[in-house]
Amino acid sequence: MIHVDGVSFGYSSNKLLFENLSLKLHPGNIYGLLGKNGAGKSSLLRNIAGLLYPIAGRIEIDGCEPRKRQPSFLQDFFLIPEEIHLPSVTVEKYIETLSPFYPNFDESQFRKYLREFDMPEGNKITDLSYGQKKKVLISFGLATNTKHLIMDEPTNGLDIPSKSQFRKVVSSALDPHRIILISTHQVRDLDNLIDSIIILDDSKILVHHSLDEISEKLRFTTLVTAEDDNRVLYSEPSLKGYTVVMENWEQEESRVDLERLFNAVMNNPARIRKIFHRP
Amino acid sequence: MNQVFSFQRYWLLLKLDFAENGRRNALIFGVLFGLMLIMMSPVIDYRKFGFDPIVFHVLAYFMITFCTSLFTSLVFDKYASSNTGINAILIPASQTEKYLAALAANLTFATALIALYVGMHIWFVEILEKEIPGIINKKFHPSFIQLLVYTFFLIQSVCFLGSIYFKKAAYIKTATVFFSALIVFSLINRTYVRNFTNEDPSVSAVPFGQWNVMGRNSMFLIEYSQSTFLLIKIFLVFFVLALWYIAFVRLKEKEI
Repeated sequence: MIHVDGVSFGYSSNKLLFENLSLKLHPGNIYGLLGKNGAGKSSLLRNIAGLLYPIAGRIEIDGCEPRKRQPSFLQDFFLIPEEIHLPSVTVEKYIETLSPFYPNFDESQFRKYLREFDMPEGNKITDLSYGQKKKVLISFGLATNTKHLIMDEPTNGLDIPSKSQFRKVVSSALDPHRIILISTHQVRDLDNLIDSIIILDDSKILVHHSLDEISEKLRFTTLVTAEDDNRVLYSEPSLKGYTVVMENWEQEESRVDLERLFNAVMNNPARIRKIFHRP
Repeated sequence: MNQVFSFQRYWLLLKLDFAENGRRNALIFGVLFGLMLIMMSPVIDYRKFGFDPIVFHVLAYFMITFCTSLFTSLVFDKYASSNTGINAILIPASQTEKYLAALAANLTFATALIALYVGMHIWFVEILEKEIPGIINKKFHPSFIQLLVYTFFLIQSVCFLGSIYFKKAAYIKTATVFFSALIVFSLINRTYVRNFTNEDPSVSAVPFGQWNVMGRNSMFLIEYSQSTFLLIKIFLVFFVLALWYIAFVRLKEKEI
């Protein structure tokens, strides 16, 4: 479990990126971390990875403090950063030298993911495009089978077919012991992939719920008119009227639209908080 | 699991470093070998020169010392760069292992290069002695070779520390500190020698080195006793070890 407990962090003590932030991430889930540019998503991930240190509060991952960066912790933790760097070796050499650090690395899995990403074989990493390098790193990260896999903007640089391949590959790599945390500002890339969502804004967590809980409390639908309906949190004109996010008083099932949810949360943070804290 | 040191992880780190940097290091080594060959081989054609070409061997020493110090100053570069830093820091190994792997890779390169230099010097001078029997011995005195080797490693260890101590322009800052310290130390040594000899201008000395007494037509060398010289050498070895240790402490301080 990843436990962030009352964490505050900022690059200067005058301006905190997030303050007294707490969350618990449980194994067997794929979490989507969403937020506007500059909301502190990458900084939060780097705090979780032990690359940055909180000003206050504590982060614990399965009883380990990430900041200590002990080998036993790092063997079970893999971070795919936004800006990637891979050495100038062949893919074969890369796995030969790096995979022994991860006891649960599975080469057949790695090859399978590369095939699913339509990656050519035997190439030197430096000869690959940025998107292809990202695919190698994503495949490697997934094949390490670490308990904690963190991805920061993993779909940046991937073309449209690769984004759907990414969703397929990542969802197939989840197991009951693993936590996958994906940060992105490209909300649509996480459609049909994540099962829980964390929205970070203005140094606070606005939403930290499973999609089931969200669809229980909110309804994503289309209305002919959105005016004078006090259930509506967010609306935007569409061909059939208005696509809306509204309170789910009738307990009707609907598919969570991440982009509209995000907009609804950004437009009505106080109301969202009230809805989700209502007993 | 041992969180501080494991031979298996250390070996993996060395293999990783070799895979990532082996080709680059071999290329640099090859270039330096070529340059040494160009600079040191002319001594064989001793008669063609109007001066003693052994001076090229001294220049070759300065060349490899300078180039190796540049190489050494990049030893922790992968941890400092934002591109490579995250990957390098999150490799599942301890700080001790990462530090020792960087040190081992650096020492392997530096030791191989200085050994090659000494070997080439002896080899070329022996060829010269076969070519021109009876020529004055051009081979460096063993104590001079020792001095070269000690100085070489001293400079490398200073650069090793500088590479982790300074965040930006590490090489320039290290060189500035090193030469400033050298000047201050030489001045202190000079003052000491002058006081000792009642301001005799004919006496000069370099730190840890013999004293030169210039006569009207002659020069005397006052050497340290064997035991004092041994103590100086031991001191230098400990000094180098201390610099490596400070580099390790600095690495821990920076929480790399």
